[in-house]
Amino acid sequence: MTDWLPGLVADWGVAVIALTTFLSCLALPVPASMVMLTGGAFTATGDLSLWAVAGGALAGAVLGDQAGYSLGWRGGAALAPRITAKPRRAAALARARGRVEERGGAGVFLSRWLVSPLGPWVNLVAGAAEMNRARFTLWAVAGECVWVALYVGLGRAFAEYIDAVAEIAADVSGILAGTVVAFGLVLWLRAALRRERRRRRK
Amino acid sequence: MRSALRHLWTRHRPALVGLIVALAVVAFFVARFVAFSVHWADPDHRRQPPAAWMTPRYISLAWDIPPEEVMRALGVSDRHDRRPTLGEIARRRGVPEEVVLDEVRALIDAQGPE
Repeated sequence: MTDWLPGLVADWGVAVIALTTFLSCLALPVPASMVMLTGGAFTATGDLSLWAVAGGALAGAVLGDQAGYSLGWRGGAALAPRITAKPRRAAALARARGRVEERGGAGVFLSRWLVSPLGPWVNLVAGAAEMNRARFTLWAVAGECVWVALYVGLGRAFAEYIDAVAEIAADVSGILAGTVVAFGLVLWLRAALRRERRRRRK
Repeated sequence: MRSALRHLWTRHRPALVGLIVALAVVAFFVARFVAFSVHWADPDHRRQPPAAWMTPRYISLAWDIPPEEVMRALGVSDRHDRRPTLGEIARRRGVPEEVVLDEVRALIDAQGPE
């Protein structure tokens, strides 16, 4: 592991942790999980307070989600007039928005912690699809609570082994995210094949 | 099967390529996980060796040495609001990091095998 990262957490404490979780929600490549694990480890040693670390990480993540949603919302608002100019596309967009409204909550919740590499992209999509902001916020905050509790808790419980924990957590998270994306695409492709078969029969 | 694949390749190429990439990502992390499991299976590899980013309290927790003892050995005050890293302690004393790390290693060795 590179030494500068945990050193940064030791030197600057909660500010670094909050900033990192904030930036990670905007899809910037910052090592948020490592920073939270290190923060958690420093709460076990007594160098940092548990509530400050957990609160800082949560505040950064929640604000980051809101920023991502706003970015997506602006991008969606800019693109929508061009899409809705054609009636068929307008209908497709309305369907997509309906689906996000219907099932988006679970997607937002799970993409905070179970498949966290997808989180920033879900923020953008939720904003662009104009998912109800209160609903988005509710599920996002709930999911971030799980995410922060998971990583800060692991860091605190396994303070003397954080390299090993970070390694395993990164692998598990990569496997889960890849599997979810692959599964979604398999469903998509299967539906496409069915449509094609039906078209041929006619 | 082949005609189905051909259809997907011509009409739904982005999704098919996405699926291949996603499966490659899964394979990569599975391989990494297996490789590191072998590494971490050795208890000596699991515990963090002393490093510049650690604080005296971290050394104390990781190696079961009372914190006051670590701080005394490194010549730092036992103040609750302070958390200097070993690197910072070295800078303040004007010595290379390696000197402080050696002191920590000596302290750990003095504790004897666990």
